[in-house]
Amino acid sequence: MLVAFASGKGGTGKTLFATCLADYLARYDNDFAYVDADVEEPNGFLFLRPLINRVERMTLPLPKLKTGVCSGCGECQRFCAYNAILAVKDGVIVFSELCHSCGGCLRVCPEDALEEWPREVGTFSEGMSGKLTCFSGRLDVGEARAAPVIEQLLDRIPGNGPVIVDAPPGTSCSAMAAVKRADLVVLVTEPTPFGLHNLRLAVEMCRILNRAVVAVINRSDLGDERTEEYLEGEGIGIIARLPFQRKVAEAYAAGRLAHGYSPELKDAVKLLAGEVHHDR
Amino acid sequence: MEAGVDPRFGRAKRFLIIETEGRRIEADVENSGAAQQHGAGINAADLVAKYKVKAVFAGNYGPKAHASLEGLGIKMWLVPEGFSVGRALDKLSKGELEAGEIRRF
Repeated sequence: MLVAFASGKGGTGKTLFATCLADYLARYDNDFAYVDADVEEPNGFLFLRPLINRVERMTLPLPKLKTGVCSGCGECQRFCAYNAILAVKDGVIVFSELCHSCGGCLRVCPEDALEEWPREVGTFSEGMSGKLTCFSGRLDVGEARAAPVIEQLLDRIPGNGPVIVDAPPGTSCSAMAAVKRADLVVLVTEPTPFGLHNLRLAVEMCRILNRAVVAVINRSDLGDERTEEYLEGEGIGIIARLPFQRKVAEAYAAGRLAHGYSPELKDAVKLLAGEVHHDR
Repeated sequence: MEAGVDPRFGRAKRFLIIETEGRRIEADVENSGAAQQHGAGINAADLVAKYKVKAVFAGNYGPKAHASLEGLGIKMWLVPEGFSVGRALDKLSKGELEAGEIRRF
């Protein structure tokens, strides 16, 4: 079972709830896994502090010309939908930041002049935090495309036990890659106009991807009632509400798992755990 | 000839293909790839290369445009802001134009 924490708006509390839930569930069960899929700015390990036992580089295939075989026909350029390969005087120029690793240019080349080589784009790490298995991906600085790295990260998770995925914020390619395979998406939101605006986009994303959705309202005592009205109208169950608590923010800022400092957060986490077990 | 030279190569609205000896306008082409989110410079370089140009004139060249034009063996001239096509050609004939050898962005 895969549960993904997404949000739309950043800073609503995805990592807060995902890490606390993972920590809580792992106390009773040792086959849970936590995955930090926000590969552009992973932060889950700051709270879970796993003992890292595996670090590997992640790569994406990129085309390269074999020496002396290019006829300058330009078939590769004609095929490429991303302007990533240009036929020039004595060969080709590959624009790695535009290449989507589809492998099409290799196939259409009449001289079989292209081959793939693995370009390093990020780092994968794995470790244990108590009984919780933790996975994280980190995109290299300067790399533009997170989605393929997120796909690779999720591919590396062994298929046994339940997985909690901490998704990136937003609703574009990287967030979609992280929630695409989820059995349940938990949307963490705040009842402010900005939170609601992005919540609508996040719900739309989940509908397009045909995912089951529930919601958690963080800082529930701030803002207005429009968020609850919206969720009710959409038929999305609100699993938990957490009022704003400075001590939660302080614990989080200190890199601590805040459910040890707030009974209200602990209760919210228990409600989430019930939802996860119920679906299992 | 009075048209202003675009400060950006890849996102220029159109390209005037000119035979500099005699200042004959051979073609006036729309830059179809100007609105592309990524790789507009590559598209533009490929477009002008089809007209077998030896050199291009613009205010500046983005990194992908620069790499593409360099790979295609097309010389890049830098045209100061506000110059018209005619004035740029005047400067060229006097040898007063700066070449875009080094990438600037």
